[in-house]
Amino acid sequence: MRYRFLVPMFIVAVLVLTGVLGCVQKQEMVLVVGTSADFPPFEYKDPQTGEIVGFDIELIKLIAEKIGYDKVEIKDMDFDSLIPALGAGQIDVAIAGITITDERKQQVDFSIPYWSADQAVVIRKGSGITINDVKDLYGLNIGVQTGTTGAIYVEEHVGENATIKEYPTYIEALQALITGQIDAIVVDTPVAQRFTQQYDVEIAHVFKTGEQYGIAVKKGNTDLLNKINNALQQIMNSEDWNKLIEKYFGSSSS
Amino acid sequence: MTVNLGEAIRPLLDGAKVSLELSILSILLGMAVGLLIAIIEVYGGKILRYIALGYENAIRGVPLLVIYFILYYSIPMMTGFSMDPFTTAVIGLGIRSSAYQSQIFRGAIQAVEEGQIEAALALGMSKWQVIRHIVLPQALRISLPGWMNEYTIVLKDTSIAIAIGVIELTRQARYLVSYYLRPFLFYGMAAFIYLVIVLSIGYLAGYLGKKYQIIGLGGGVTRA
Repeated sequence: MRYRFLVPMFIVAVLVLTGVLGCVQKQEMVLVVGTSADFPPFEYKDPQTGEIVGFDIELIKLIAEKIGYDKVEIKDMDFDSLIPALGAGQIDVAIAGITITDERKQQVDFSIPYWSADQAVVIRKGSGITINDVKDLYGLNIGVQTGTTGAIYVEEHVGENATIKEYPTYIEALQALITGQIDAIVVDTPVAQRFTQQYDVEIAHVFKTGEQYGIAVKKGNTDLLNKINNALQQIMNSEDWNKLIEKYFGSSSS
Repeated sequence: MTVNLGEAIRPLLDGAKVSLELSILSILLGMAVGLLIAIIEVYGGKILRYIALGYENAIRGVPLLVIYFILYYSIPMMTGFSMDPFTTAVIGLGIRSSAYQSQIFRGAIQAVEEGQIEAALALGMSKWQVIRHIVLPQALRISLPGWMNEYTIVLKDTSIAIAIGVIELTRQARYLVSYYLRPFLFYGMAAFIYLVIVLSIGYLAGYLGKKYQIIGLGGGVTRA
């Protein structure tokens, strides 16, 4: 009778041991990166390959390689979930065109800025609107995306002098512009550039606001943050940086 | 940018598969728990009944997004124990649905005629035997239309799972929308896929309702 127990016990012991040894042997250093892949060209899903790609994704891969990680794992989620995911340790870093703000700084730590965006005014081609100054927006129907720097900018500088319509994403705002429900949209410059490539719209003016995008880590994770900053600085001073910009923004980069 | 529809349909179908799996596992988990809650609420002792009522009301009062955040972000932060997004989504959606399903089943259980239960008890059946052989076979048939309705809600609520990183149908559509900037086309395609799933499941439920119909039992005949 005793042997009957010994055999399965032996099998279990072997399985457990090989499992443990297997783990010890290939202890890969994996950087888990959170992003929100609906913000081309910074991060998006390439319909041809089905892979999540973009400026941010390639940048974080370069950084991870410099720091010495073996692998980068990309986790896509809602933009609003990135900060909670950092807090809960579900991801190590978040890179998703995140503008560095004081509110966000209270919850996460940011790297040095790697990108600077301004606010562009997008109008329909041939609509005859000229914008040279904030005051030129007075009296117009202006679309913005809720919670973005564009929305805050218009609210502060135009306020009551124009009709401001808020949309959940810039895509709805763009549809409203094309169908003539609004006269102009105020959005981040990289987004505005994509609009002009795909629709009959143009950038009427750019307000220099200089929002800075940063890479976020869990609050207090200074060790990782220092490594990221070092790597980022090296990359930004290298030829790789220009290649990356050329690849995703062409020559018309900011 | 021209859209290659053949290429675009593939990620949508991948997403549809995830949504379908998530909705079916969730509705089944919700059914198991919901049925138990319903039985306790109708036949349980005083303490058990209060626990069941408390569970049902607490869950019904909390938005799904909050349930997800608690399961996926708060619990790992407090205990260090974490599950993968899909499992978390099944549990979250299942828990939420169990509270609603418990009410569907409770109504159906109470719709079974009192006289039958008394008769069964008089014949010497135990309480459990009465539930198993007299009440549930009728209650499950009665609950089919309501249950079918609940499934359509669960299916569409799978789209909230992107909050914890489950890449389902709506998310796949969103990738395409943000890449091609064509919201009507891709959200329209996603809506059509949801519709096809709902209609198919509805057809299946209608078929089951007919197949297991008991002549004379009101409510058992169903058109989902």
